[in-house]
Amino acid sequence: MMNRTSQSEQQESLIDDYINGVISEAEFEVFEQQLKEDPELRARLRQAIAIDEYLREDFASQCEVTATWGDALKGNDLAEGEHQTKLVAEKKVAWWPMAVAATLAIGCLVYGLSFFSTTEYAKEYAKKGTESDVAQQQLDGEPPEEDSSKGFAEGFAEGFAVLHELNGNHEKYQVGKTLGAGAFKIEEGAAELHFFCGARVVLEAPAEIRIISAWEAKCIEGRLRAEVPPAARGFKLVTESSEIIDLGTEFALEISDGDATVEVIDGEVAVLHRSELETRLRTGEARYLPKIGDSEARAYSSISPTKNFLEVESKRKESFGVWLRESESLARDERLLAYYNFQDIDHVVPNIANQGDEFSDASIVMATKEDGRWPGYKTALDFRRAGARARVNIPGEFEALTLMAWVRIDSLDRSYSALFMGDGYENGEPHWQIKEDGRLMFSVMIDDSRQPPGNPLSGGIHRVYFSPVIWDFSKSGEWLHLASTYDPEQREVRHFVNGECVHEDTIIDKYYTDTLRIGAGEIGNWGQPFRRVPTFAIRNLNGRIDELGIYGAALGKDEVKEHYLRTKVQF
Amino acid sequence: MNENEYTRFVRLYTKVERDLRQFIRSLLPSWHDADEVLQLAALVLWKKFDQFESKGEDEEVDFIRWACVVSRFEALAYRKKLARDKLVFREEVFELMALEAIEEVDDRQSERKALEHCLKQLSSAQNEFIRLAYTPGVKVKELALKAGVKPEAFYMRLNRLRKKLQSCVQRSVQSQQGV
Repeated sequence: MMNRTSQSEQQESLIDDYINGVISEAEFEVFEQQLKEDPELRARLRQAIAIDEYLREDFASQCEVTATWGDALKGNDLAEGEHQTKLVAEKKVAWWPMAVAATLAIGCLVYGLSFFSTTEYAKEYAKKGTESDVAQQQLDGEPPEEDSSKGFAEGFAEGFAVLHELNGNHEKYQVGKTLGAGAFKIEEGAAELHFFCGARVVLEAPAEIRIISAWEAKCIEGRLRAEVPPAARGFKLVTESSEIIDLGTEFALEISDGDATVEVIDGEVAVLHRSELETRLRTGEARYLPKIGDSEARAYSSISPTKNFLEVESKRKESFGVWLRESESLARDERLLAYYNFQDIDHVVPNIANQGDEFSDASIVMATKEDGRWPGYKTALDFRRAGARARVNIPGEFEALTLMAWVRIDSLDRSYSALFMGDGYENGEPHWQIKEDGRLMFSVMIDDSRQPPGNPLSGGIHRVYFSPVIWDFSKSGEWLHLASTYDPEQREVRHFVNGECVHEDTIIDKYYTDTLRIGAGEIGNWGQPFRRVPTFAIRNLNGRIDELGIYGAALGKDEVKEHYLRTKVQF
Repeated sequence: MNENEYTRFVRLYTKVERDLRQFIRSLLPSWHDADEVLQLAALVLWKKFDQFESKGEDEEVDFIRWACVVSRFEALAYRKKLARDKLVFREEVFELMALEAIEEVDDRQSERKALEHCLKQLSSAQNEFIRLAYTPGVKVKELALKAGVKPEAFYMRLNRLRKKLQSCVQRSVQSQQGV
């Protein structure tokens, strides 16, 4: 017999599936039977339908903007000139034309939605993390089974482009960063964005665009060039007064105070200016598209920005050299049990800590050698393949522990993504990982001979110390400096991100140990999971690590900060 | 029929169209079906408009109830045309839903107002997500593919947000009724 909660959950999910049109026949049969018997369920279904309808109508009637979303996401070829009308037809659901017009007009007035901003998003996340922290920490270890979608890092839909190259001094942006809907602005230098549809856009500063989707951006200011391969045909740039749709290959755009000039370097573009009929421009043709007034043909004058990234290359090399020297100096720290800087990788990642020995080199299994923080110079290991790992053996017992690494998380698609894990998770062994909701986790096994009450599947008595949410999709591809310290003497556990302490916790008696061990362990995966359920057992990190230090001591706040500053990318 | 009747019909129909659409959707398996029937029903309503009488004080309420009754027949006829293997409610459930939906039809207006307020309480990222999911012509599978996630995960988030909105709407309607 099903209890009340699970029945109501099951009903909720039937309603959702029915509304989303993904209900199976078998489920529908159950659903219909329950509907017949349960007036409350019928009322809930009607209300859910009502909500669905409000959203459909309200958002559908955002006329212009939404219509372009539709095009963009479908990736249809605008050149056919058909489906714009088709889309409009889809919206005209009612037979009564006046009624339709009225509904559309109302919808348009009501909703003026602001675009998503990354910072607000991050704030929201940080808040959420703190709230749920307390409850989670009461748990004895990892919950046995969890809905794998629950902690799913929200905001995934916001990734529309990646910052491929950047020249100039920009605090806000990092090469490799995923960009979502919203503004992208550079005051100096140049940038190259790769949209997920395949289009590449080079911008010359000062420039500002607003990314709308993987297929569309609004140009506010500056010069840019778009290279559009066949797969990205239909990629669109919009200005105050026009839409420029690429029908293949390459075009340039210059915009200032809303007045734009477009010219086709190679191929063809379709231009829609204000209420004018569509104009086609071919190789070597240019057109002036003023904010107000008619468009005019112009002579081709090569407005295209040049790809000036050579300078970046030399700076990058220099910056890498600085890091390499720092790294060699950091390796002399006597507290290091192991220090992997992920250079000179060849089957093994050498432990370059002066105190370390060759036995603690990390053996690479399936992980692949990829670019690290300085592409072309720095190497990293990528752990995205399910079996990927680097195995280590670090003997001895220690009174405290610090784990510190430069990590690039591409996606958190496992329930737990491993950073560094003791193999058997036996007494004194650490687990350092990230939960799928973006929280950093650190734990040490206290007593593997006893099971905590209420969680018989746990490996033993241990406590997971969670940080607030430190990662969401907006950080995909970004290199982060992560550190966790375990200090039994001070009874303190700390988590750090980019040198800043983001969480502090007290070690209480029940979870106290001052005898820490590592022995056999793994970077980027977990060697000996004690349960075979895939969501539990498979923990490879979908991302890269290019520096890892393991200290048999707890580093202080200043020391972590210093480590971050000495090893970060500086231009 | 004179010009005044026409204007009156358009005024009333415009007011109730969305409620009517919801009503029909609660009887049929998809929005596509609901829209088909809505078009047919609108035509029938206009043809039979001379039979409509407003007895009460509120002409709009009378009109939506009448429109629901007329649309129910259209939906029933349409339902029979749908292939048997489709996920269509059997007549018993269909009738229960129709009867109850007609009773509730007045509540929908206040819900809509509440929703406007509830949408404002979502974060901009959540709002953006909803907007994206509800873009006309968007297919969730394609959208999820573009965003690089599984459609299930996409639906999961959508369901959660809708649920959030639904409970917000419920709360605010209840609190209004309480006053």
